[in-house]
Amino acid sequence: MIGDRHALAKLAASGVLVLTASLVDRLPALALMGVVILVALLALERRPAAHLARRMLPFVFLAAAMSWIYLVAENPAYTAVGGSGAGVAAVVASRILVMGLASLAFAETTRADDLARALEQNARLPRRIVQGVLAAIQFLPALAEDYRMLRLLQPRRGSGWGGRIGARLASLSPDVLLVLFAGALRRASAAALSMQMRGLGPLTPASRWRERRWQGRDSLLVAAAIALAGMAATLG
Amino acid sequence: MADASPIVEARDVAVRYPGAARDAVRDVSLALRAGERVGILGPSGCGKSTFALALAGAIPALVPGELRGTVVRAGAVAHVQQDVEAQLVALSVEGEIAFALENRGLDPGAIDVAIAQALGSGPARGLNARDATLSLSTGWRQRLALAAALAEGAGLTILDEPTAHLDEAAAQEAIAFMAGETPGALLLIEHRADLVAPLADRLLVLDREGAPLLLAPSAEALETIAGRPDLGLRLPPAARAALCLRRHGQAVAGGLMPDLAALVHAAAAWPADLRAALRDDLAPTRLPAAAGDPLVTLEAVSLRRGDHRALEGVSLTLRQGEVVGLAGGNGAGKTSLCLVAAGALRPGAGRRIAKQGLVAHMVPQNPALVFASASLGLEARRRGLAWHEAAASLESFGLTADPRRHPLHHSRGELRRIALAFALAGPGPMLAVLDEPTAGLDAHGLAALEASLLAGRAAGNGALVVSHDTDWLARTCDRILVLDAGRLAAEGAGRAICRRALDGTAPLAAPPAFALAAALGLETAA
Repeated sequence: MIGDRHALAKLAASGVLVLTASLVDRLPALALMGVVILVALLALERRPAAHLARRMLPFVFLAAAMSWIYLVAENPAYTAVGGSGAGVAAVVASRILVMGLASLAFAETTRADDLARALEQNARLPRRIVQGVLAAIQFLPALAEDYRMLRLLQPRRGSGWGGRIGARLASLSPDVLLVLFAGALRRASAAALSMQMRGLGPLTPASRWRERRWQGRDSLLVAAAIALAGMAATLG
Repeated sequence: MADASPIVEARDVAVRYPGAARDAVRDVSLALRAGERVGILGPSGCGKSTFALALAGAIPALVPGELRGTVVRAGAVAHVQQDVEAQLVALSVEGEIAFALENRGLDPGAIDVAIAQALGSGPARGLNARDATLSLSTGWRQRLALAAALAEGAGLTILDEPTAHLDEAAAQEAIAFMAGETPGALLLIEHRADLVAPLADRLLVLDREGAPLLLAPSAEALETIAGRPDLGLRLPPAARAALCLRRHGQAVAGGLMPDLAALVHAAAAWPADLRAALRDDLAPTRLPAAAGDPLVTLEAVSLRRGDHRALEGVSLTLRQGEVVGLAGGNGAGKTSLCLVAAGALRPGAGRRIAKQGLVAHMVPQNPALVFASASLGLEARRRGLAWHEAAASLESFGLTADPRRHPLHHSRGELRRIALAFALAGPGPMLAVLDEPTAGLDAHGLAALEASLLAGRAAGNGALVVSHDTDWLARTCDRILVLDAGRLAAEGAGRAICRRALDGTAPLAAPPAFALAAALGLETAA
């Protein structure tokens, strides 16, 4: 199963696929890559199709938007990949979708803390940096939640739900942004204090808890990704 | 028994923050030995947290400030900050517990054992090792922070308001766990003397200026606290009972930490007027108000938040002239219900019907989130309040605020009181939805909140108040709702809910003061 593999193996495999998708410009090659990744997610990782479709929505919107530009505004400046407007649009859309699928395959099968540990213990990145980034990742949903609460908690009259565009724009006033900024600053300071008081520093080497050793199957995953990339490159 | 050599010793410590006109804390001395538990009590803003940071070595190394006096440490310090939202740094429960242990280079096997122990008993019992910390409610985050600190096994563990967001059962459980499981020294910072006094060997009481009033064994310190109501510290129910008995000329063995069995034994002989006075002190409840018009009605409301169902088929009516309490364990769905009742969140199923023209004000757990203006004056105007109305409400909470000052220039404790003062002021019909307003409030703040709620009630406004302090809810509210796993599990007048909590028919920890009244035969079972 892909989920059990080393986080760095999954990072490398998805990186190879994203890079390849960004280089090939033939629909069959992109279709092959897309189908293989999709099959891996649906059959091997048993991810529900509806769930994958939801997670792919941003890429679908991006693909639609980009292909629309190539379709309606056929311009030599845009046709770097060659071919007609419709053909270019299809390639660009497919490329975005395949890159999205490869990224999704990595995100769906890898926990952020497993990746952080692998980057620290195997890739030898400094623990302070990795843990700092992890803490920052924690703040993003908290910041989004703060903004949502700020917007929701304005005094409201009657049973309206406050979803009007005007209210949303008003909620982006400098004063509201200042509250968000101050909150983020307070959180960051407190988290930095918390981490340092809990011993995060350059002096003591951290223990290698939950260290994952690189196994043959991890190499196999990377090799499979390279093989798929090679086949796609041949087709492309 | 306490070891002879101190783990940490502070002598004449004073701290002044950059730009401050006076010391945040001054002339404080304290030595802590292994196995010793000391509580720090004092009014809001008296420098308790500052002294703890100085003891932990964070000032001036990590937090800018001038430290005078000496602090000598002989071992590692585990520290849980007051702001539990920012305390957690890992993405998973096990990662959070392991974080400090990894940093200290502990053997991986020992870290696994520590995680298993932390999740097998104590405050974090019930959490899964792979749970995401981001998915936890504030109460569960606080439990995890406590468990992670205790798992460090440090020589000194400092917990700054460790029970502020815990339900009563979890708070009592955490205190009991700490009483039995911490081999090192423990320093607890709390507003609630009722929680700290039974656990602590000694109490350090600071005055409003950050100077030490006394450092003494708990029973002796309680005597001082009882004589200084200006400090705003809450006494344990047993101490309140002892004081009441004293006032009625009854001798009480054990001073303000009386032996419960002896009290129960003596209770049968107490005269009726004493029993009535004790009952009024320990378990006062309010007669329900005459029902006014509905302000908000929720009909079979359900709500999903993320992957879990936060509310399931909740129906209720909040009326004019009514203060309704909302209780329940951590993660029961109280905040979700507040957001729906305030009209801030649309329920996934069911509907909310609000009175025409109703203004709903919600004060969330993070009070900074209600401010969206550059000054308090503008904030008051934005809410339709004349400054004299806002100022009067602020004054009732013990604040004399400058209308030109930015809200964020106030401390978090002040912000909470300002948010409450603004939410409870102004013309009706109004619904105030207050999410854990009692967390971190001292006795003065609680009294002001109670008075403001009752003034609003008399003016025909309504309120929905979340609190883990069921004793306070029973005293203040017309009725109490109890949520459990997103469902309305019980509803009734304060006394009835307390009785149900006591006999286990409501999913709620027995409120300590009410439980004492019951143990003394002042309350009969339902």
